[in-house]
Amino acid sequence: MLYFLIVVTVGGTSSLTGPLLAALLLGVADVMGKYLVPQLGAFIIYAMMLCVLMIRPQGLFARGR
Amino acid sequence: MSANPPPMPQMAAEPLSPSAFLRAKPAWRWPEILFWISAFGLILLLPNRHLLLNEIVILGLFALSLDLILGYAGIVSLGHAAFFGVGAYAAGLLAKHGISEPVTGLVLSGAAAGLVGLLASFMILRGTDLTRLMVTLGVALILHELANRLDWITGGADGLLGVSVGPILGRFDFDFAGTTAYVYSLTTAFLLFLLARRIVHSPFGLSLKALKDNRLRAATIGIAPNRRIVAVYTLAAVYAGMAGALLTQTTQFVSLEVLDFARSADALLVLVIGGSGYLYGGLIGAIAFKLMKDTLSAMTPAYWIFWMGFILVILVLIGRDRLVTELARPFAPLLRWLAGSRP
Repeated sequence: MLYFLIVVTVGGTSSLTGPLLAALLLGVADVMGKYLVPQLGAFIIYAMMLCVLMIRPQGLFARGR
Repeated sequence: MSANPPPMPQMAAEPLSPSAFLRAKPAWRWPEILFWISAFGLILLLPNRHLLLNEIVILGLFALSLDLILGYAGIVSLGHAAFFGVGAYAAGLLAKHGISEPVTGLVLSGAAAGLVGLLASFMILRGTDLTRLMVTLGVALILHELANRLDWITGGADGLLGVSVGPILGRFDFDFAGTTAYVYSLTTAFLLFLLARRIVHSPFGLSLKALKDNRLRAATIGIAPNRRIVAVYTLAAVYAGMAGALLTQTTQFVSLEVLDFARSADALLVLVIGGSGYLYGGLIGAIAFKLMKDTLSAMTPAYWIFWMGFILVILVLIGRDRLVTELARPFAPLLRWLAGSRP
């Protein structure tokens, strides 16, 4: 249930393409993480979200304001 | 969640000087005194319900700590259970590994949660409300996952076993009926409440309200937003950690559930019920929430969650303020008489 919220925040709420790209990025990273380092599990997606929001609080693909 | 504090009738008079204003606000009003007298009176009046009362006090303290950041500084948080959980696990680990005196454990757990809160507060300084919501949620989820994975420290999904808490101050032992637990939790909550009351009525508390209303404007009149948010977030984390420690010490058990998302959501629900921004919202909301949960789950064991949700939707749709005025209308003459009899 939480995943769509994570995707939208990471992608940024100001465009449609932002969440789309974020969904691809997070989905690939999540599956890769689960495949390569299974013991980390759910950490990857949460950590990625926190890192992105640290660097770009408005989301990755938000338009500059 | 934009709950306004109830209007204060005697405030409408001529403008006060700043120092007189600061001195007039913290004056105790009679409902407050009545509230605390009845809370302490329940020690004697309801001797067989102390376990439930203890839970109410802990939830109230937890909601109070969320109120400090939501109602005063305007920071939305969906992950406040992170600090509750840190405090709970800290108290459990301390009691398991030697320091079994509750008050020492309480202070140390509060400090541990405060440290985590201090570190986490730097993450919520930037961005919009949605960003803050997700960052706080993310911190809580990561801590939940950590507690789950580090099972050689926390016990993982089995919970932390072997927590044995000694007598309070070496004198008062915890009893089976929960009387000591309730007195201990209530006293702690009362002292922390007094401190919170002092803080929110201080110039610091007023500056937080200014930050909540308009951060840019507050910054232009010389309030450093970031430092104040870090300070109040750390304080709220200490409060939440102490609430968690109280839960551990009075139940002598810690499970993953202390870090659950549902716990953060419960605290928000409590503030929706009780209202935020006047300190009593968390306490009153906790009473209403727990009593509702208790009676509904006794009445309909299978469907009580449905009725909880139903009542919450009704409450939000009608609006708490309107509901309270309608309910208070029959008592209006009495209230007016009481208000008029004040010196």
